Amino acid sequence: MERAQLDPDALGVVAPALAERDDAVPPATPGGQLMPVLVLGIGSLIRTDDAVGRLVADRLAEHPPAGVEVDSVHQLTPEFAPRLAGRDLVVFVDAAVDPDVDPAVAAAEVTVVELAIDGSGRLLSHHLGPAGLLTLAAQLGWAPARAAAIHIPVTDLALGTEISAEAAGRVEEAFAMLLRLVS
Amino acid sequence: MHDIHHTIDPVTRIEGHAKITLRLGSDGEVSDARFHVTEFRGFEEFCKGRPIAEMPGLTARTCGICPVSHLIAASKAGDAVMAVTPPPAALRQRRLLNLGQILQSHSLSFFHLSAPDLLLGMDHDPATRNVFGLMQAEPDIARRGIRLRQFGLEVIEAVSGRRVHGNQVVPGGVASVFTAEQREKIVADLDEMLHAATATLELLTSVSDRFSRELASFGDFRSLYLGHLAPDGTWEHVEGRLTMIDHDGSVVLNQVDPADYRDYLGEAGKSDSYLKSPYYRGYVDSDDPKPGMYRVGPLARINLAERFGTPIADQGLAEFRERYGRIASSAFLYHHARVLEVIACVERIAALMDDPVLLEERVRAQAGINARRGVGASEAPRGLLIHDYEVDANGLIEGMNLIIATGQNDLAMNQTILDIAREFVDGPELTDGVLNRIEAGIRAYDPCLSCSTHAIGQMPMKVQLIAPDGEMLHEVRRD
Repeated sequence: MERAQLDPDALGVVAPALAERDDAVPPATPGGQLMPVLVLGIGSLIRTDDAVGRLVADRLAEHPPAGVEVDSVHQLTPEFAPRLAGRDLVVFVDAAVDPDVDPAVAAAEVTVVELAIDGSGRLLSHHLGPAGLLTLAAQLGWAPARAAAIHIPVTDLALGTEISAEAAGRVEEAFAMLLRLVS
Repeated sequence: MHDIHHTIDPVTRIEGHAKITLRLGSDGEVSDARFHVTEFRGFEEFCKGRPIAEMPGLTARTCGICPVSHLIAASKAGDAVMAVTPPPAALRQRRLLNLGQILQSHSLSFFHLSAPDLLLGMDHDPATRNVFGLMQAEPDIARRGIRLRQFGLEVIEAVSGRRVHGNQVVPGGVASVFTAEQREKIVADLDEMLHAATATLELLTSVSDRFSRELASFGDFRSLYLGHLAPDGTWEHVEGRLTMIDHDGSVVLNQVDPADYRDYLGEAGKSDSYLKSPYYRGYVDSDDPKPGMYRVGPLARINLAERFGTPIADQGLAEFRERYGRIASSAFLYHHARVLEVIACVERIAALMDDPVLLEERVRAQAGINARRGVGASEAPRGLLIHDYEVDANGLIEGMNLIIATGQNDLAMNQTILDIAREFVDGPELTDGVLNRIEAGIRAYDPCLSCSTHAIGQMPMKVQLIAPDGEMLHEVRRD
């Protein structure tokens, strides 16, 4: 999947409304009102620094900006695809351990990248990352208008419930980026 | 002719490793089939010494697909140790949770795992005979499957606060009150879900005629059937007693207490598998457990029940019986039974939404340790689940036994693989179509180790043809 590094402010532009798109299908968010922005923090809470994405999302969930829905999840599954439908923007926040992420980029700093929504992402049989989920959503008519990922480079993925000091600093950095992105 | 073994190894890739061995006799016919589970978990040992209050949370970690089933069985065992009956609202919450559990698990099994076989065909290219191929060929069906599973998970989340490993169910009842706001979230999707479920049944019925050979060869044999059943013969999934019938519907055990399971169920151990093989003691008088083979799960439940007790599912059940008879014996019909249960789950969830008792605020009975043994049982998606605990005076676990649905179907799965191999294996080489059908035959039972490792994609298989002297004559591998 093609991706490019972004200035977080650049994604603040509101994407075309669902009704204007050809592939529009009714958003499948049960019960409540659909928020235009969805933030998904991803990771394991017992694999030390793998939790960073969820910590960033959990922090945003304490005081979410207007129009922003936040979820903190262990992993992505196909059932998240309907939840992307009708969104102006979906942001994935994750530790940079995804094999799709360029290690050279991941090792350096927290980055924001825009994700293509064209069905070109790889669909693997035992792993569903943001690119795969977007591909799934695109193929089934549930694609959001835009999607981005915040990659937080980490080094410690051992079993444990405490993140490293280095990762804690990057959580702060990523949270600031996320806030600029969705506010 | 040499005695020859076909070994399929591994059947799964990560946690649920298993393999299959087919033995060819001197006459060239398949003489035996074995499904080996090579993974050891050890819950019955490492839970010893832990307080009974921890058992729902601990044992739920047995499985990421059906933790709710373990939560409920463990909590019911806790009820028995405390000698309490949970308040009516708590019983309804447990019921609602289990319906969400069965719905989401059956949707995963049918749409993600089995529908590619059923809708694209058993001989379809394995590279695209998966849920992704289904998405491209039948996007409406793929959407329906994802939404049904999403709904089941959301029912679970609405009740327990989490999609997986919620801690809502506890000994004595449940942890918190179910609110009108939670109810509204569920109600909002009911119409769409009922439409999706009924459309799925119509689709399955429309393609069923393509599979007459599979219907006849996928485990179409005489067996017993065991599961929960309401006293009036209505389908039941979480409360009450157990009934066992035989292949023609005659009642073998009528409304027995699950706590007495040791009186009628034995457990056969095997040297080549960690999976225990429960059997009905009444028909076994030697070391061979096969005469006591019984089946559990969706097919058993619909064979046991006179009715679902909900209109659309009952209409589907009537048409099913018109087609396949009062007692359906082919394992291939587990798929059909699963879809019928999906409809029943949606209808029963809808009925619970109209039940004011669900919202009552008294949800937990409190008590100390009043009995030294407690047995809890419920219907997991794959079938009967029993938790049996023995505790000391302080409620610490001294002994524990878990009877799991996949184990109870072990003897039947072996027989099913044997039937498929006899029908489709021709000569010393195994074709891809044979592998597909063996895999599909196992999947008909939706064994836990398969669903936990193959949410998406095909089952990796390695088949070796080995002569008695150890020489590998032929190998087929599919990654």
